[in-house]
Amino acid sequence: MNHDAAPTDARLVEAALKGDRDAFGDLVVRYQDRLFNTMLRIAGSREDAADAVQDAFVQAYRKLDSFRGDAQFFTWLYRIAMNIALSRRRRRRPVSSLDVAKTDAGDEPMDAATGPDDRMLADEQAAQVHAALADLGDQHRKILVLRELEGCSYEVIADILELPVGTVRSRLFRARMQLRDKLKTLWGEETPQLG
Amino acid sequence: MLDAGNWMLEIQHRASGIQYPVEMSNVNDNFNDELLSAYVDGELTADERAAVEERLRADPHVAELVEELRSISSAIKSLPRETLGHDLRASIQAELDETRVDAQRQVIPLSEPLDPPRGFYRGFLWSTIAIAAALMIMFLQYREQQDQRNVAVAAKDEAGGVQEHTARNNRRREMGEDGQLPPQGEMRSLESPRDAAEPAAGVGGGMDSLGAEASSAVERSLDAADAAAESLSDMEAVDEQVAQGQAVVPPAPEAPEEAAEPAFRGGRAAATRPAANTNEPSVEDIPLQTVELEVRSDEGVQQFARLLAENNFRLSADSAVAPDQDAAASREVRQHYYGQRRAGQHPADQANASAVHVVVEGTPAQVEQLVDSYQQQPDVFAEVAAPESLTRLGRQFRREPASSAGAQGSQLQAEPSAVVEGAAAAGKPQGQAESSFGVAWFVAPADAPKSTALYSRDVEAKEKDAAIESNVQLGAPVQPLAEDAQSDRAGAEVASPKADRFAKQLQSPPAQGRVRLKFVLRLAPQPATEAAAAPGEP
Repeated sequence: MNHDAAPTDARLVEAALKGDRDAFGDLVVRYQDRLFNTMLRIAGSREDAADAVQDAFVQAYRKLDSFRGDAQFFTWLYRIAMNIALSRRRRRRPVSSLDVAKTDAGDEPMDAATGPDDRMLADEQAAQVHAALADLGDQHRKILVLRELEGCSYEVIADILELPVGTVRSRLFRARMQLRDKLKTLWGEETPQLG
Repeated sequence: MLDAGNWMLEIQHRASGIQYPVEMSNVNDNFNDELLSAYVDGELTADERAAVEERLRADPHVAELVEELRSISSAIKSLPRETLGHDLRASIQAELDETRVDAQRQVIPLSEPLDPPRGFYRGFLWSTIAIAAALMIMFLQYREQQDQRNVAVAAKDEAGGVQEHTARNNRRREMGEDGQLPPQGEMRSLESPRDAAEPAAGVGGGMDSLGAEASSAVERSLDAADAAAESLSDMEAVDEQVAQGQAVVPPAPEAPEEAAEPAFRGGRAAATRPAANTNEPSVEDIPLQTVELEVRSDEGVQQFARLLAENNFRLSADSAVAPDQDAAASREVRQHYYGQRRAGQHPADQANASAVHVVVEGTPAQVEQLVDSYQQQPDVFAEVAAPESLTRLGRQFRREPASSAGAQGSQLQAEPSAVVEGAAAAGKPQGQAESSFGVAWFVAPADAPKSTALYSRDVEAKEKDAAIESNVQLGAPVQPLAEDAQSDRAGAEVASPKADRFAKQLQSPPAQGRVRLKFVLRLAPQPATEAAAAPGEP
């Protein structure tokens, strides 16, 4: 067992509150990629996701003294990031649609040597799911991403989204059904050439 | 159960025409279909799970829906994990630092902006005190210089059988009355208010008292100027100026520090100074004129700064403050003289102002040349409005009837303490003139090479004037002169009306050899630049 375990979020937050920026930097390192991956599906683009992640950390630092110790730091952070990402997305709409996704999917090279942005869409199936996700309503997309990508429990989702657990359950179901319908629409019109 | 690799095939297959086995209505009859989703997620209670499993066994459509839900879930989970690709710590740190600086700036007490032109001049509101302090420095240091010079001239006079320098003051007035100098009324109208503003300590004061006053005033002024003076003091450009001896101020005489003038407090010092002896030669003999200069665009300010340099005006070591770095105008001026090193470090960045003030000092020829240079570029400078008194220098500067500016100039002369405020008020409603701005002082050494600016009169005339000026020793560094040098220069042949005039001025208080000019630099009203709106209009 590793006894040099990394400090907990709570300890790092406490240190950051005492002015230790390195401690906050550790939190950044700990969550930046994970948060980015989630925000990528929320915001729709790498650029917006990266901006949202940075803004979220900055805002989190500024408001760190308002962070309640009884909550999970990442829950709090994700809530901030979600709001930022969605705000950005609303300002830039329409970012993605199924039509765009279909076009993108058709044009997307499958070559693995594409750029970083293109790697995300290199897999056609993933690209279409990504597009279908992007075409969902904000509430459904958020809850699906938190559940499927972050593996958050209903309780955590409820905490992040500030919803009752029952609402999480019903909304999650509806979100999945909507995604199913969108994929059905997508593939019903153009069947991907799968092997 | 489908694995992630097959989920797409499954969904594709279904989406291709196969009827979904489970319709929403079916599962909604007496079964909460939301439970299926939660069942997939393992988020059911034991009872709920038992209920779902019972339904699954009984209804294959439900089982198929569950598989579908799992496929959806797997589809999302199979999305590639993307990473940021770089560490955000540095950028977050930078943003936090920037925020902190912004927050610090926000606490700087600033005056209200006075309706600044959009994106143009934003000066320093904090600098009212600093400006007045710098003015004090200039005035008082000139008084020291004057005193020193008087001593030197008096020594020369004694050698030549001439009486002490107070007699020259009387002769100066006589000369003014006989028309060889500007009308005495005008002269006195400019000087007397300054005299009226003389500190009591200066009445009949000799060199010591003046020095003491200057020294203590400088100290207080520097305190008032605070960060401005500090920030300027170590600027390389300024240091260079000082090192090159271009500062107008000779070393301050030793003076008792306790000779403080209680009335000297910050920028309002001069306003409270009591009357002084009008016979006492001092810096007040150097006329301060105001020129309203309107540029048509930011480029005009660049040109302004460039011409300032080309006419050999250099930042004075006792400059007050620099204009706002954010404004194009002040940035140009400041960067030109300070370099880039100070960019973003000035404490008054948030201030706003309507105008940038630049005070220049030089010989009449230098000042003439400078103003003339601006005047010769109407495409750049929409307005070069100088007070009538500038015509004393032998040139007509005005492009437009400058009654307003001239009146303003007189007013400024009449209220030296209000130089700053008054200049700000020029062209502005009085109610908006309470703001402040940056003022930079530029001094052209008398022995500076002639300007390279070629926008004004012909070069030959300039060179001739320069030669004459040199001969008659106008504008030489204001410090005690060796008797032989004085003798040589005083004996120089004068060969032109201008030289004659200069020579006569030389016999008047020596400070007449230099003039000061304050440019109130602002953006011309854009819609009416060609119409040359009357001076004084905002």
